[in-house]
Amino acid sequence: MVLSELKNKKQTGTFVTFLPDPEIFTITTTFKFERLASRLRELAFLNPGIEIVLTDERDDEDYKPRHETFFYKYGIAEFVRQLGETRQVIHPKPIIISRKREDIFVDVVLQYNDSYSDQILCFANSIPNPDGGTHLTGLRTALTRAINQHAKANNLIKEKDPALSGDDVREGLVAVLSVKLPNPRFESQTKVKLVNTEVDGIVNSAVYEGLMDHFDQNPAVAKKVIEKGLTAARAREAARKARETVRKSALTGGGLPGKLADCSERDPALTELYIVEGDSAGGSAKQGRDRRFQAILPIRGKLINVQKARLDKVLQNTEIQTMITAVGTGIGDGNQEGAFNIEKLRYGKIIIMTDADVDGSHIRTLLLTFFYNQMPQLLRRGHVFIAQPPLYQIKRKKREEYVDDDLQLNRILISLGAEEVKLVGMNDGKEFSAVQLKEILELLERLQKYNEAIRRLGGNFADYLQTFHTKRMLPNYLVVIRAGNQEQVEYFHDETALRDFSSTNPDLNLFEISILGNELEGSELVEGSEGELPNVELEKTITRDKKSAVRKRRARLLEIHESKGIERLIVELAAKGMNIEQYAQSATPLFKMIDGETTHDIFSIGNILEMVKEVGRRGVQIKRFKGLGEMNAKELYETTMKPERRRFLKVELNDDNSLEAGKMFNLLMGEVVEPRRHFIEDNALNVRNLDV
Amino acid sequence: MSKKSNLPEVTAESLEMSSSTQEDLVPEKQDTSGGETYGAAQIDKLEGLDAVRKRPGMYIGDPDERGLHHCVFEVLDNSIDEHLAGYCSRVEVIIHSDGSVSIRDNGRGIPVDVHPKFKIPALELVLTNLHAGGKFGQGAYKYSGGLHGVGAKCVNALSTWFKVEVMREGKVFFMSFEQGKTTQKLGLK
Repeated sequence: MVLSELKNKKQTGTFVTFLPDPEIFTITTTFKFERLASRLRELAFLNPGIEIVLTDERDDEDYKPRHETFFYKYGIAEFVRQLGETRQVIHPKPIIISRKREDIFVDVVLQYNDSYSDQILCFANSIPNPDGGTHLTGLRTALTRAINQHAKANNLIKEKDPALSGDDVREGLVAVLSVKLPNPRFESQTKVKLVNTEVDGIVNSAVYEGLMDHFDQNPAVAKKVIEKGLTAARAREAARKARETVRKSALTGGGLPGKLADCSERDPALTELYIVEGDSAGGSAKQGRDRRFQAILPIRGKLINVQKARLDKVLQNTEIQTMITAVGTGIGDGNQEGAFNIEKLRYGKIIIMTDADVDGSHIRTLLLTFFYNQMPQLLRRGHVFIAQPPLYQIKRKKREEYVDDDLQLNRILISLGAEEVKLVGMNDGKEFSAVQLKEILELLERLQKYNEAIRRLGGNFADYLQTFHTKRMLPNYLVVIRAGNQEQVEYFHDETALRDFSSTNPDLNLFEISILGNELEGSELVEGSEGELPNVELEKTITRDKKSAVRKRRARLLEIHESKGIERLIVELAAKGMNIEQYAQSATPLFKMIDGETTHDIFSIGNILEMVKEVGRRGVQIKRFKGLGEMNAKELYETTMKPERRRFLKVELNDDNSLEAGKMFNLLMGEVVEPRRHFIEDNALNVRNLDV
Repeated sequence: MSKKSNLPEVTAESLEMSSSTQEDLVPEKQDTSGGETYGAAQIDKLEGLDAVRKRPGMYIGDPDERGLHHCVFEVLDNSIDEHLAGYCSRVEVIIHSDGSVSIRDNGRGIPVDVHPKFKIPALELVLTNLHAGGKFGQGAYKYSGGLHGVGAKCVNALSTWFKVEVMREGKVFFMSFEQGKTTQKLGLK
């Protein structure tokens, strides 16, 4: 707490706290941690040396206490590295240009990777300008000019070859452009676009000079960049031809593909296109649908992975061709014929309907990858949905009911079971009342959810709860150590214990990733071969001694935000006569559960829930739908397509998650295998039932 | 697993097709006429921050989720400007359990002395008067993101309550507001 007279007289600062007015913010007044974090991260990148700390004090269903520190010594160079992290870069060191002209600072970092798209982020005085503006124009012009100039001067492209276009030289480019200027002018108070006319020329000349210098000093880099541009030009030509063919075939083929079962309504605001996995489910969907406004397009097998293949290959794929024609919008940027045009969208809702198994998930991911790459506007404008077929059908006596997911199924089974049984404590022989039992079951269900959460982190719930006995509190950190296929989990109550552990196990580099910015200063990093920026090794698998035959150990440090919540739950359970120490299996029965004529002995409080569920399951037939084909046409329509009953997930892509989404698509669908392998390894053990 | 992690953000939403009745009815004439008189008395200048509350869209964009977060960024931009000016090395953002949010920096602190022309403390001036600020080229900031002098005071106007503490000259100054109106004049905490 600050006092009116500060101890340190030199200390200055501003401290603002406010509560947004719900009268104004009628839609939501809840701040999202991620949304704030992504902007703070950006600011820390753009202002090297500033330390920004984000703390969430909330502890409720949606948010758990956490905090994150953003500090980047190397500024936007690190930003570019992170943006391209999941890609194979074609030159390891980014091109860094930093110049000042007439009071305007121009900072640009560029790096090429092997992808086919470009990503350029622009900022003016640290404010993001997603719509670009004069600084972006300057950068683009300079880039095209410098690359062509260098190529001509060094005979890297032939005199008679056409010059590389802007699109060609930007293919695979990741860049961050930051300008600082005295009187920025933007299109609006939201500052999405910079309009100062003088900036164009200044950025242009600064970047041109910077690039020419860099190319002269690093001819190898220049050569690679130009080669990349030439490949892009060739591919663009091939793609143009392919697109023409697609368009022609669509025209001569009489318009719509034969597999599409179209609807009678023409107004896209009312229509829906179901992209259905497999011809058989497609058949049921066609039979069951409401043909007035529901169109069905079955697709067969696995779609081509758009992230890996070049556009011309993608366009030759028949499934893709039929899909493009059915959707109607065309694909890709630009103004030429066949380019994406939202006006031509034929269906207002595009619904992906796949089986609830791994193949279905894969196909869904491939479809989303395609939309993300070729029709991102569909995602941005919220036209894409994912159908949610029910997971179960339960039959009890004559009644049939569809159940959406495991959660709902559990709830039904528990409430059915609770009606049948009585619970009696073993030591006092007292019976719990129906109300008490209900409350206990609710608490245990919540505990079960926490069990899932801890398991997802990689921990074992019983072990984790064991630690409560000694300290009367639960650990806040968990470290998962993997060596080969062996996994070991350690729990720590506080940071001191964690640091002690880390210092006795230095090979795990526990603190490296989370505070990357600080650790860059560390002496162990190898200096980059070409200049001042160390070649940052982002992987933490390193055992420094190459000769050592010791198995590499990898560690993940995770904060357990759930601990406070679980501690409270433990108290609530205790108040209801449930001792958490009895979560572990006991040698003697703790409770008796009377179920009509029979009596079951219960050895752990965790088993109460299980037993009730088992009783609830009796007399109930549960059918698990895996494939859409297991439902008949009527069932499929009633549960999944009928507007009054169905549930869809809406796929959202916006400025907040587009960065993350791009990275995720790259990680999971792209070319670099190593990070994906780690992602899968790290998550595979947390999935109990892969065949979801 | 793929459902959860590798897709763009997905939110559950149950959809319903509105069963539109396709009747071609001529819409009834709506009464959109104004009052009888239109003289000088009907011209109103929205006083102070009322304008912001009446038309938040002009200042922060739509008052949706984006606009809500924009409030934090408007205040934060001031801290970053202090950094650009060379006076701020650390910023803290805290989301509190009651839904409020704090932004604390170690910059120079907003000036608190009485403004020579307007005769109120500068802190109050910049938080309650639109287009009052230090970013119109008077010398305190050269490179800044804030420029219209509307950021922080808009946030003030759009908040149920707004509190500010300034550390300067070895003291802690304090002011508080409700919906943009001063509830506690500048004082020492």
